[in-house]
Amino acid sequence: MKTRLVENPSDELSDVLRSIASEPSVQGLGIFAGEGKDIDPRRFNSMLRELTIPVFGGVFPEVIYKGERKPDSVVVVGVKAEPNVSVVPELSDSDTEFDEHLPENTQQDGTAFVLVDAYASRAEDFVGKLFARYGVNLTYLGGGGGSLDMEQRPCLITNKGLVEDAAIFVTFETTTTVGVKHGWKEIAGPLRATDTDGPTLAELDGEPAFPVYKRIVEDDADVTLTRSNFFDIAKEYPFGISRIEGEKIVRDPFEVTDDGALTCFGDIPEGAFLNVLKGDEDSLAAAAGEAYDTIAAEADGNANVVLFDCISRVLYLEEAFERELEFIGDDECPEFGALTIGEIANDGEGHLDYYNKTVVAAVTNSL
Amino acid sequence: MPDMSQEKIQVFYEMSLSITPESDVEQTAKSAVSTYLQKLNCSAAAVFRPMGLPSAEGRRAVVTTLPERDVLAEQISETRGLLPDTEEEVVSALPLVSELESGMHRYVMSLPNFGVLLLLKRGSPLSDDVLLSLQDINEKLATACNRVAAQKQYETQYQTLFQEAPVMFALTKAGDGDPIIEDCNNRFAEKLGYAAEQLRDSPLTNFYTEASREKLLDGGYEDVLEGRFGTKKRVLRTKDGQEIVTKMRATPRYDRNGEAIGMRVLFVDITELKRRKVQVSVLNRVLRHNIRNDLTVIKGWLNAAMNDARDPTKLRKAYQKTEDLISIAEHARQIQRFINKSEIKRHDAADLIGSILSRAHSEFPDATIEATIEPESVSVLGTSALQHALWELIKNACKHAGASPLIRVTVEKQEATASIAVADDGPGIPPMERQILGEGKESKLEHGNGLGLWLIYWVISMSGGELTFDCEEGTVVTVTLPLAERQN
Repeated sequence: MKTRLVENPSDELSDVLRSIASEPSVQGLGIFAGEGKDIDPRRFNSMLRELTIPVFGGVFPEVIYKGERKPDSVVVVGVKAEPNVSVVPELSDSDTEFDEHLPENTQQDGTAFVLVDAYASRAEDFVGKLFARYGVNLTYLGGGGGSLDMEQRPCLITNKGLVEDAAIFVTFETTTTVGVKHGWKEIAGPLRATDTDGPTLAELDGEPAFPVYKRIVEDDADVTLTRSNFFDIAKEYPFGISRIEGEKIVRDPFEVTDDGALTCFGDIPEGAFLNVLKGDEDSLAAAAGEAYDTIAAEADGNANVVLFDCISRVLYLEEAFERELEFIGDDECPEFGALTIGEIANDGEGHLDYYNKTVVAAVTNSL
Repeated sequence: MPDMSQEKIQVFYEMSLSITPESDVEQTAKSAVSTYLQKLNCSAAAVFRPMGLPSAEGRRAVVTTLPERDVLAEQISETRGLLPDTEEEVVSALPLVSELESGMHRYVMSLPNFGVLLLLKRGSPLSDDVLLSLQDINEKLATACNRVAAQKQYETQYQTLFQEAPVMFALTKAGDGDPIIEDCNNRFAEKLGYAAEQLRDSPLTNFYTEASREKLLDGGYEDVLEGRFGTKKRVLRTKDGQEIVTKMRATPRYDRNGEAIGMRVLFVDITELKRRKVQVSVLNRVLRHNIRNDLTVIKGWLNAAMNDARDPTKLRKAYQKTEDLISIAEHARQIQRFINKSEIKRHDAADLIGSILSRAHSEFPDATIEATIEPESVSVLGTSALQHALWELIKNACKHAGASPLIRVTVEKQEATASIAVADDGPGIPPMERQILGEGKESKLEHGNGLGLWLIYWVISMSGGELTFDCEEGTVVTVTLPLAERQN
C-alpha cells in the first residue's frame, strides 16, 4: 500500500492521482478527502473519470494522516490488492434492490470497505443486507461520508465522479484485523424505547423522549438543555443499546423534533433498552488504545492502520482528541483514515453493525 | 432465569419481545435470528424444521439462515449429520455444544415441537447462563413459528374455499363511495365472463344493471357498512350482456381500528330458480284458474245433461271425473299457498287432531273413527299448513278406504318427537305412490295420480317431520313431527 497526503488538493491532486495510478504495482486508488477545502466538483469529477484503475473513497468532515487531523487535505492510497468495487445508487429509495448491485460471491476471509452517504435513509438497511448476504466471510470496516452541516451532497468517490445518496462496497482478497471500541460508560438507565421510527426516538418509558433525556442530562451536568443548545450538549451524552458479548451500540442524538422526539444517527429498535452514556478524555482515549491493541499484534513490517473514527468524538474532546490519536498507530505502523459520520464494522468475528461515536481501527498487511 | 447481570436480563427481555408472528414462518424465524445474532454478537444462525420425509435432507428442511443459505450450506450440512434420525432422539440429544477446527463455536438447540436452531460464534464462547436463558426464548420462537404455520394453513384453507366455493363471492374496498372489487373467487369471475385479474380494482357497479346500481349507491352501500343490510335481490350483467338475477348478502369488512373498509358480498344465482318460479306460477294459474273455471262450467253442463238424459251413467262418470279434476286444481292452489308459508310454529297435536276428527265425523258419517291421544296435550313444530295436511291425511282414509271404513287415529309422544298414525282397513296406497313419495320426486315414467299425498309430503317435510307407510294390512300412515319442547 502506498499512501500520500495532498495538502493542497486544488493544485496537486491531479498530479498525485496520475502518479500513483501509473505505478505498476498499484491496482486501485482509495481517496479520502476532508471537506475543509473546496475542490471544484467538475474538475474533480473530470480527474476521476480519467483514471483507468478502480477508484473508491469519500469526502468526510476530516481525514487522518500519521497521527494528525487534516480537515483540508486528501489522503490518496494506492492499493496493491485488486479492489472489487460495487456502487449502490439511490440508497434512500425504498424500491432500490441492493442485491442487484452487489457481487454474487466474495472471497472467504476477505476484507470489505463499506462507505455510505451518512444522510441516506436506508444506510443501516444496507449494512444489514451486507451481513445477511455475506456473513462473516468478510471483515468489514468503513463509515459515513458527508458534511457536518447536515446537508446531503455528493460525498462518495467513484470512477464516475462524486455521487450522493449511495453506498460503495469494496472487497479485497486480503485479510484484515479489526478492533472496535468506544469507551462511553453508563450513567443512567435502563430506559425502554417505547416508541421509535427508524432513527427517531419518540418515547422513553412511555413519555416523550426529550423531557426524559433532559432530566438525566441536567442531573449530571450543570446546564439547562434546550432545543437550541441540544447538539452541543447531547454530543456528550449518547445512548447505548445493550448486547451480550460485544460493545454497546452507541446512538448519537443530534436534534429535537417539534413533538419532543430525538433524532439520532442510526436506527433505534422499538422495545430496546437504552442507557444514557457519558465519556471523558481518559475513557475515550483508553478505548482507542484498546481498539489498537486488538489489532497491533497482527501488524507486520509493511502494515498500515486504517482508522474510521467518529467526528463527534472530535467535537466532544476538541484538543484532547490528539491523545486518542496517539494511542493508535506508530512510526512503524502509521495510520490513515477518516473522521466519519457513523462507523461500520464487525469485529472480524461477529455481527456487522452501524455504530456512532466509536473507534474502528484495522491493520492491513497486504493491501 | 439464572442469576445474571441486569444488562443480560435486559438483553434477553429484548430478544424475547422481538419474537412476534410475521407474515410467514420464514420471516418470523428470520426476524428473530437477526436479533439473536446482533444481541449475542454471533456470526451465523439457521433454523431447521422436520418435514417427516424419509431422507435426512428432507427431514431437516431449512426454514431460514442468516447469512443466506449458500454461505452457510456447509455448516448446515455438517450439523444435519450430527442429528439423530427420530424427533424424540433429537429432543433428548440437544443442546449440542462444540468447537470446530476453525475455532468457531457451534450451538445446536431445540425449538420445541418445531425444529432446531443452529448458532455459530467466533471469538469467545457463550457462557452457560446465556445458553440456559436461551431455552426460554427458543421456546417462544418455536411457539411463534408454529402459530404462524397454523395461521398459514387456515389461510390456505380459506383461500381454497373462497376460490372454489360454488357461489359468487367478492371482497370490496372503499373507493369514493363506490365499492371497488379487491378480490373475487373463480365462480364470480367465470359467471361474469372475465378473468379475475380483470375484475380487481374495478367498481362493483360496473357489473350491475342500472336499477341495481341505483339501489346500491342510493343508501344500499351505507347500509352494508353500518351492518344494516340483509339479503336483497340484485341483477348482475355479464361481459356479453346477459343478466344474472342473484340473491345478494353483504356484510362489512373492518380494519384493525374497527373502521368499515369495504364489504364481503355473496351472490347466489337465482336466475334459473326465478325462471322456474315464473313457469310454475303460470302453470299454476292455468291449472287453478283457467282449467278450474272451465271445469266448473263443464260440471254445470254435465249436471244439467244428467237430469235430462235417459241413461245418465256415462254422464255420471264424466261428472265424477270433472269433480276429480277440480279437486286436483284445488290441491294445486293449496300447495302453492302452503309452500309459501314455510315459517315453523308450535301446534298442539292433540287439539289439531281433535278438531279434524270433529270435521271428519261430520263430513264422513259412514266412517268409524276411533282416536287414542296420549297425552292430552303434545306440542309439536310445523308450518301453518300442518292442520291442512293432517286433514288431508284423514280425509284420504275416509274417502278411499271403502264404503264404511274403520279408521284409527293414534297420537303418541316419544323422547324428541310425536307421531300421528292414521290406520284404515282399506286396500292400501299403491306401491308406486309410496315409492315415489319415499324418493321425493317423480319422473315421466314413475309418477303419482294426484296431488293429495304430495301436499301431505311437502308440508310434513317443510315442518321437519317424516312420513312413513305400512300397507301390509290396510294402510297405516304415520306422521312424525319434532317436539316443540326439545327445540327449547
